[in-house]
Amino acid sequence: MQDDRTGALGCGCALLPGLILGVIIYGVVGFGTASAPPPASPPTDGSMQVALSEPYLSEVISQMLRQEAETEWRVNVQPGEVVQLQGQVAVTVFGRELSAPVGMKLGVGVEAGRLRLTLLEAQLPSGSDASSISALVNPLLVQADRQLDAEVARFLGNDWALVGVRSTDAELILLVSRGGAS
Amino acid sequence: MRGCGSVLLGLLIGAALSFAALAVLALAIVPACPQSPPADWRVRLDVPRDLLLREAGAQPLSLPGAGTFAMTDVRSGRCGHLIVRGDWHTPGDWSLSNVGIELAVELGSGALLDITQESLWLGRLPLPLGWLPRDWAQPYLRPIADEMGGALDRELGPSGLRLCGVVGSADGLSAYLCDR
Repeated sequence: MQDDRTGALGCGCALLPGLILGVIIYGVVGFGTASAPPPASPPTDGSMQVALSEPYLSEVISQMLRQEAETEWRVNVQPGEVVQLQGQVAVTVFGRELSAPVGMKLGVGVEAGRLRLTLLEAQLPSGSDASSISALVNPLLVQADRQLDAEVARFLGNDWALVGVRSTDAELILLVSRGGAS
Repeated sequence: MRGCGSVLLGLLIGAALSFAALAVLALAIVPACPQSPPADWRVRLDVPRDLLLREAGAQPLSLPGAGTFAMTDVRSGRCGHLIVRGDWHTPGDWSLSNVGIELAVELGSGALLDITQESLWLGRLPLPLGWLPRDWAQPYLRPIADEMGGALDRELGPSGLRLCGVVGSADGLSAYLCDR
C-alpha cells in the first residue's frame, strides 16, 4: 500500500501542526527570555495623589467666599505650595461703594491632617493700610481655610486622610493615604 | 523516508510562518491611541501601581471555568494601557507564571468603565489579541470593570463630579473627573 503523504501533500498536511508549533515556540521563547521585572518604584504606603485644577479651585473658592465677597475668584497655583487669589471686593471711599481689585498670595500646608492656608502677601486697593488687612483679608482667609479644609475632608470621606500637599504651576496636589498612615 | 522529510519540512515552514507572523504583528501593530486627558477635567486621581496591586491583587481573581489569576505586577503599556502580570493556575492544577494581559481601561457607554483585552504577554513577547471578538474576555473583565466603576461612582456620588477619563501613566492609573 502506497503512502500518499509524500512530497507536496505531506508538506502541506504538516503546515497546520507547524503553525501551532510556531505559536508554542513563540511562547517558549517569550517565557524563556523573560528577564526579571524592573525594580519597582518605592512603595507609597497606600497613598495616592489628588490633583485639583485651577478652574476647579476657582469655582470652589468663589462658592465658599460668596458670603464674604460677591466676586469670582481667579486662582493661580504656583510651585512651592503657593496659591494666588485674584478678585474684586466692595470698598467704601468717601461714602461711595466701589469695586476694587484684591489679591492674596497664600501658602498651603498640612497640619495634623488638615489643610492650612497662611497669608504670604496681600495686594489691596491703593491707600489701604494694615487695618484694612485685618478688616478685609483676614475674614476671607479664615473662611477660605475652614471651608477648603471641610471640602477636602468631604471629598476624601472617612477612608482617606490628608498627609501632604504640593503644587505645580497649574495644579494643587493633595497627598492622601488610606487611614492616614504616612 | 521521503514522506517523513516532507512532513518535517511542512512543520518547519508552518512554525517559521506563524512565528514570523506573530513577531511582525507584535512589532508592527502600533495601536491608535484614543486615550488623552479630557480638556475640562477638574480633579485628577493618580493611583500608583502598588496601590492598584494592593487593592485589586489582594485575592487571586477567580476566572469562571478557567482557574484563578494571582496578580503580581501592574505596569503601563502603550497608549495608556495597563499590563497586568500574574500567575495563572488552571483548573487542571498546573500553573503558568509571568503571564501578562494588556488591557485598555476606557469610559463605558452603558456602564461606567469598559475594560478590553489588547494583547496577551507570554513572558516578554506580546501576542496581539485585536483579531479576537471584543467581548471575548468580557465574562472575566466585566465583573472587574463593574466593581471598579461602582466603587468610583459611590465615592464620587456626593462630590458633584463624574468620571470623564481614565489613562494609564508611568506610575499607575490616572482617573480624570469632570463636572456632572
